[in-house]
Amino acid sequence: MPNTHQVTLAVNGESVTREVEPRQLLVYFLRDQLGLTGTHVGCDTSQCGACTIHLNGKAVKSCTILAVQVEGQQVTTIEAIAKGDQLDPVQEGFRVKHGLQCGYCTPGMIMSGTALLAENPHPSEADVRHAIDGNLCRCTGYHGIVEAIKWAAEHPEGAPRAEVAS
Amino acid sequence: MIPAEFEYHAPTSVQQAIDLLKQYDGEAKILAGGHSLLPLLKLRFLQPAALIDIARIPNLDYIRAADGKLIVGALATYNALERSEAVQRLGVLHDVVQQVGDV
Repeated sequence: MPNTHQVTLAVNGESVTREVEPRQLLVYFLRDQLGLTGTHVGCDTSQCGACTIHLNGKAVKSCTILAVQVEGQQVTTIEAIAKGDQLDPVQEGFRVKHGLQCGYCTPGMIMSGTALLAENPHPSEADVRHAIDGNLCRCTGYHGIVEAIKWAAEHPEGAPRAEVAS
Repeated sequence: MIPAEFEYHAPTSVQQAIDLLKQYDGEAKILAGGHSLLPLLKLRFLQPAALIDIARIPNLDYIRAADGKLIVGALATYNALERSEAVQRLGVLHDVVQQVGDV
């Protein structure tokens, strides 16, 4: 008998059912089985946070959780953060405040930032820095990232297009 | 990095978990959060026959202060410890859990 388990979970609001090996890590399940490659693999050792997703609304590192562990739970990835063409305020903040350089860490940073604001809509700068404690940016663009998340907290409805473009 | 193969069980009671541990006779590991265990599996420092995932067992996420002791359930997260008033009163432990639970 093959050593696989059937898992059913909600990914970005849609129910998915797949056969997985117990050793299948969630990040590879999302990337390789579902084609959701916005979630990145950085260090693969739960230190860098490039693989951060939301599990039941909380920021979690998907390289250190098995797909079988999330049976029946709700996963949100970077692909579902924008609503159509409408960027999330955190995403707009990254654009307005130049919160990214190479962009590799950006999906994880945005998942940590959005999870923070969902729980604490008015964070202090210390709160923001603490929330991205587990996300590494090797371009060392932390200042812009912190400013981006603070901008999002100040603009919960996002920004008019003109302001974004300026 | 991909762990070696293992069987996976998700018991829903402490008794089921204990029965599974007995059944595997030392060859199974308990999986709670996994942030210590999974890195060891990925590096293949550990290759257990089975993981017993206790996350579906209710009421194991308690943090209680009583009789001068702090009692922490196997499913209490570092995040919950960081927010716990009982832990916040213990300065050093609070400093430590803030460094460990980084998301």
